[in-house]
Amino acid sequence: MRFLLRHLSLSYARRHLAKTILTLLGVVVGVTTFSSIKTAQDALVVGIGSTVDRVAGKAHLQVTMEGGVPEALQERLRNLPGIRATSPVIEQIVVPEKGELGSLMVIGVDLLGDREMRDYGFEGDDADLDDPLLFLAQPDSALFTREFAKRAGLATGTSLAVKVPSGVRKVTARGLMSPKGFAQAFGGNLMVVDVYAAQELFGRGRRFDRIDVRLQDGVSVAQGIELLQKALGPAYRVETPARRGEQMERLVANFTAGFNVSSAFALSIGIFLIFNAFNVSVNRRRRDIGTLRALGATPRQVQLLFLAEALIIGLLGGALGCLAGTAFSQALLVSMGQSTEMVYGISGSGIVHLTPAIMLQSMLLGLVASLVGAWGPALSASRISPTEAFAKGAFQAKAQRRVGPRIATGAALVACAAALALSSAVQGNALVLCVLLLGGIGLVLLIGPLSRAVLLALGPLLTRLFPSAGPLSSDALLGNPRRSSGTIMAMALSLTFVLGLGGYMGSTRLTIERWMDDILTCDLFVRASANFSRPDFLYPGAVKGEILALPGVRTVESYRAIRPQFRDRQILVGSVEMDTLMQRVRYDFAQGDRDSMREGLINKEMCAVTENFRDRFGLGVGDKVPLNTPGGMVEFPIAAVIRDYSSDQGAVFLDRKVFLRHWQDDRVDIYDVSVKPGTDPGRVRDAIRAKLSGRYPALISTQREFKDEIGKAIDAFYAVMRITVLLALGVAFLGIVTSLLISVAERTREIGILKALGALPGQIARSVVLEALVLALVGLMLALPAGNLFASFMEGPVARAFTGWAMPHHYPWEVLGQLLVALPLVSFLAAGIPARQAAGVKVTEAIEYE
Amino acid sequence: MIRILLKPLQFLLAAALLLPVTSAPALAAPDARALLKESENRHRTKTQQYSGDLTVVNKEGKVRKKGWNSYRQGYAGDSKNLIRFTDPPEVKGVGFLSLPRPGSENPDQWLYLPSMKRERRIAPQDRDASFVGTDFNYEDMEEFDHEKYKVSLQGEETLDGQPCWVIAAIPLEKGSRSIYQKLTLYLRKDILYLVREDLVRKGEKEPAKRLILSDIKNVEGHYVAARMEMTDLKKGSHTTVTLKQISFNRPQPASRFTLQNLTREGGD
Repeated sequence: MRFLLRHLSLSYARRHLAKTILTLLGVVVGVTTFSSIKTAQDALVVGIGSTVDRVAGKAHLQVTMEGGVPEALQERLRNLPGIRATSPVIEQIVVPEKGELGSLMVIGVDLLGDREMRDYGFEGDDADLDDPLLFLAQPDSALFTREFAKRAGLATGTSLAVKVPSGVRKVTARGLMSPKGFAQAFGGNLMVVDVYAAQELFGRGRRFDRIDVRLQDGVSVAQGIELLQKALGPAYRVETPARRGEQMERLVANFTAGFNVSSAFALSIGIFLIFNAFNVSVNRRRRDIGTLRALGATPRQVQLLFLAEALIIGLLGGALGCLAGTAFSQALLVSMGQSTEMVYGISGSGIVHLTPAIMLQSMLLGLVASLVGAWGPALSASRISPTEAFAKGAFQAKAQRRVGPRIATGAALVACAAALALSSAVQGNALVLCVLLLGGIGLVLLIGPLSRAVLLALGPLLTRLFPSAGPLSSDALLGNPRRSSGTIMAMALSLTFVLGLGGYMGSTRLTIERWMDDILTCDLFVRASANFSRPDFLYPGAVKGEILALPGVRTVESYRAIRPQFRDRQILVGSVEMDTLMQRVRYDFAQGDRDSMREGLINKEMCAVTENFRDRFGLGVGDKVPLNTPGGMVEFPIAAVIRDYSSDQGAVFLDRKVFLRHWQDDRVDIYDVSVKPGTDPGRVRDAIRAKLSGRYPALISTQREFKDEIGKAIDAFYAVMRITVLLALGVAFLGIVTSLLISVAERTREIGILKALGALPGQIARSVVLEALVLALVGLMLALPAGNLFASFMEGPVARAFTGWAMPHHYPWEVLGQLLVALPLVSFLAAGIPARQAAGVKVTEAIEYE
Repeated sequence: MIRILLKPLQFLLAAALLLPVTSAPALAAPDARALLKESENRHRTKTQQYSGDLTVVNKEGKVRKKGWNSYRQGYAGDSKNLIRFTDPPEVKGVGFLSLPRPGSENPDQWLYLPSMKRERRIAPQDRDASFVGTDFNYEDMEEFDHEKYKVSLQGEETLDGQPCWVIAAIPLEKGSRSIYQKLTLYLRKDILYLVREDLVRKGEKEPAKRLILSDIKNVEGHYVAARMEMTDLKKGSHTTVTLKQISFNRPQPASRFTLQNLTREGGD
C-alpha cells in the first residue's frame, strides 16, 4: 500500500497539484468553520462561567433581586446566623473611549471588606494599590490589570476615558493588579472600582446588583440557601455562583445553537467538494487502476488506496483547519461576545484556546468528511475491470443507472423531513438534526437527476444563445454527469443554506419591524442606557412629572422591565401605564382582545402574556402567573395573550400601578413621550435634554432612531450567522473553481482538437465561463425550492422551539436578488483561471495528452 | 488603635496598695488585672484631642503622609472617638467615627467619604481590614478595654533601659470578637504606661504586628506617647503617628460624636 501511495497517489498529486490543493481546501474550509465556531462557542461559555467564578471568589452564595438589592439588606444578612461575611457587588460593562481596547468589565466591590470574600487582595503581591485612602476618597479611582494597563498605556495616576451612562468619564488608575485569580475575570479586561462609586457612576441609587455571601465553617450550602430563603422571602434569589453561571450559559445557548447548523452545513458542503474531486480523480486514473488490476491488485486494495488518500487529505485538512479555525475564532468570539452583550446583557470575554477535545473532534470530522466524500468514488474505482479501464471513452459511454428509485427515495426522505418538522414528535436540537439529516440526504439524492434534467433542458437554449460556446459548455457539463452533479450539489446546498438563513433572518427582521410599527408609536424615547437588556442606569419615577410639564408634551409613559427567573428561564416582566399606552398601540392578540386586556390590566390586577410565554409554559387566558415580588408570591390572572417580541424567553406585562404596588420600585427604564399634535418632536427633545442635563444621562431617540437601534440589536444577533453564510458562499466558490479546473484538464485533448479545427482561444474561454455560469444557475434553480423549505423550517419549528416565536413566512426575495447579482460575479471570478488555462492549451501538447 | 492613638494606655501600679488584700501568691508578683486597672485609673482623662501626622512606609520604602485631627470623649469601653483627615487636600474631610455599644459588643464604626457624601459602616467581618491603607486595622482603632481580656502577668523585661511588666492579654470574646489570639503588653514599671504591644493573630504563633510607643511626654499632668509606630512584621511596612497640639479634658460638644456631624461638610 505504501508503494502504491508513493508511486501512484503521490505522482498524481504532484502532477495535479492545484486540484489536490483545492480538494484539501474543501476539508480545510469545512473544518475551519467547525473548529472556529466550536472554539469561539466554548470560549464564550467558559468565559461567562469563569468570569462568574473568578468574581465570586470565596462566596458560597449570591443574593440577587430584580431591580437590584437594597443596601439595607447587607446589614440584615450580616446579622443572620451562619453568615461569615457579605460583600456587595455591582457589575457593569463599559467601553473605553479608545474602542480598540475592547469592552471593560467594571466590578464595584467594597474594598474595605472584600478580603473575606476573594482570595485576591488589593495590596501587596496581588496589586499595588498606591493609596487606599485616596482610592476611597476619590470617586474616579479605579484599579486595572497590568495587562490592560499596558495595552492602554496606563500608569498609576494617569486617566482613562470610558463611556458611562452619563457620558464620557475619566477614571484614574490608582493601582495595578497582577494577572491571577480575580484579576483574570473577563479575560483581564477588568476595572475595579469602589462599590459606592459604582452606584453613583451607574445610577444604581442605593442598590447593589447582588450581595455575595460567605457561610461560616460547618454551614453547608444547602443549609445556607434554606436559611437565606427563609429569612429573605421569595423576592430574593439565593443561588450558588455556579448555578448563576449555568443560567447565563443557558440563556446564550439559544444564540449559539444557530452556529451548529452553520458548521454542519459548511462541513457537508466540504464533503461534496471531496466527493467531486475524488470522483474525477478516479476517472482520470482509470488506466492506472486498470494496470494495477491487470498486475493482480484486488478490488479491495484499489478501494483502500483511494480511501488511504482520503485519509491523508482528511488528516492534513483537519490539522490545517484546526489551525485556521483557531486564528479565526478570536475574531468570532469578539463578535459573539458583542452580540450576547447587546441581546442578553451577558458578557463573556476570554482568550480562545484550541482544546484537545476540539482538536480531536475537528480532526475526526475532517477525516470522516474526507472518507465519506471519497467512499463512493473509491467503490467505483474498485469495480473497474482492466478491460474496461483500457477501453477509451467506455466509462463516458456507460449507461446511466436507473434514476427512478433514487428520485423516489429522495422525495420520500424530503417528505419525511417535512412531516417531522410539522409534527411535534421531536423537539429542540434533535428536531433540527433529524430534519436536516433526512432533508439533506433527500436533497442529495434528488439533485443529481434533477440537475441532469435541467442541464438537458438548457442545452438547446444555450446553443441558441451562444452558438459556439453554448454547445461546448453544454457538452462538457453533460459529458461528466458525476462531476457536474457533484458541483451543483455543493452549489445548491450552499445556496439552500444562504437562502434559508437569509430568509429566516429577513423574516425575523420584517416581523419585528411590523411589530415595532404597531407598538412603538410614540414620538420620543427617553432612556439612560444604550443597552436594552441590561440597563446600566434607571431614572427615578419622579422624572415623569418633569417631562410631562414641558411644553408640547401630551403623554408620558414609564416603561420598566425586570428579568426574573420563572421555571428556570429568565422571562421579562414589563410594566407601563396601560391606560395611555393602549390608546396608541395595536396589539395582535392570540387570546383575548383589546377590551379584555384593558379591563383586566387596568382594573383587575391581571396581566397579559406573550404568545411564546404561553407556548413555553402552557399558561394562557384563564390561568394565573405566579411571580415573586418583594412582598411574597403573587398570582396574576392572564387577561390576554399577545404576539410580542420583547423577549425570546417569554414576557408578562402589567399595569405600572400594579407593578409599583407589588414591587415598591418606581425606577424607570424608558420614558415613552408623545407630543401634542403640531408640535415638533425635535423641540421637545431639546427641552427634555435641557431639563435632564447634568442630572441624568439622557439618550433621546425619535421613533425612527429607536426602531433603527432595535434593528441594530437584531443585526447583532445575526452578525456571526452572516459570517457563516459568507463561508458557505466561499465553499461554493471553491467548488466551481475545482470543477472547472478538472473539466478543463479532462477536456485538454478535446480542447486541443477543437483548436486544431479552428476554435479561437476566446471561444474556448467563453465556453468555460459559460460552464461556470450554468453550474451556478442550475445550483440556484434547485436551491430556490430547497431554500424556501429550509427558511420555512427555520422560521417555523426551529424558531418556535428556541424562541417560542412563530415568524410568518417571508420569501427571501432580497437575498435572491443579491444572489442573482453576486453569483454571476462569483462564477465569473471562479472561471477566471480555468478559462485562461483552457484558452492557453497548445494544440500539439493537447493531442498528446492522455 | 484608639487605645493607642487617642488614649495612650495608662496603667497604674497598685502593687503596694493591693498587697494586703491579695492572696499569698500575689505577694510574689503583682496581679496583672490590678496593674491594668491602676494604670487606667491613673491615666484616665475625660477627653483628649490632638493633631496627628501619619506616615506610612511600605516595604519598598515608598512614603505616604497624611494629617488628621483626633477627638475622644470618655475612656476605655465607653469612649467615643472621631478622626477627621486634614491633609492632603484629596482626602480632606474623610472622617472616622467609633461609638461604643452596650455590653461587651464591639463598637460601631463608620467611615465618611465626603466625595460620596455618605458614611459607610465598618462591618464586624472587616475589623481585620487595613484602616485606610495604614498598618493599623479597624480593630486596632477600637478603644482598649482590659475587661474584655483575660490577663496574666508573664514577667518583667527591660526595654530601652526601662524596666517593664510583661502582660499577656487573651480576648474573652463574650459578645465581642477579636481578630487577635493574644496581645503582649509591655508596661513601664515607673509610670505604668504602655510602651510596646505585640499582636498575635488567630491561628498564628508569632506576633504579626508590633506597636512601639515612644517620645513619652507629660502634657497637662498626663503622660502621653507623642510617637507611635506600628510595624507589620510580615509585610515589612510600618506606620508612624506623631501627636501634636495634645490637650486633655477640654469640653467636647455633645454633637461631635454623632453620625450627623460625621457626615456634615467640614464638621469636626
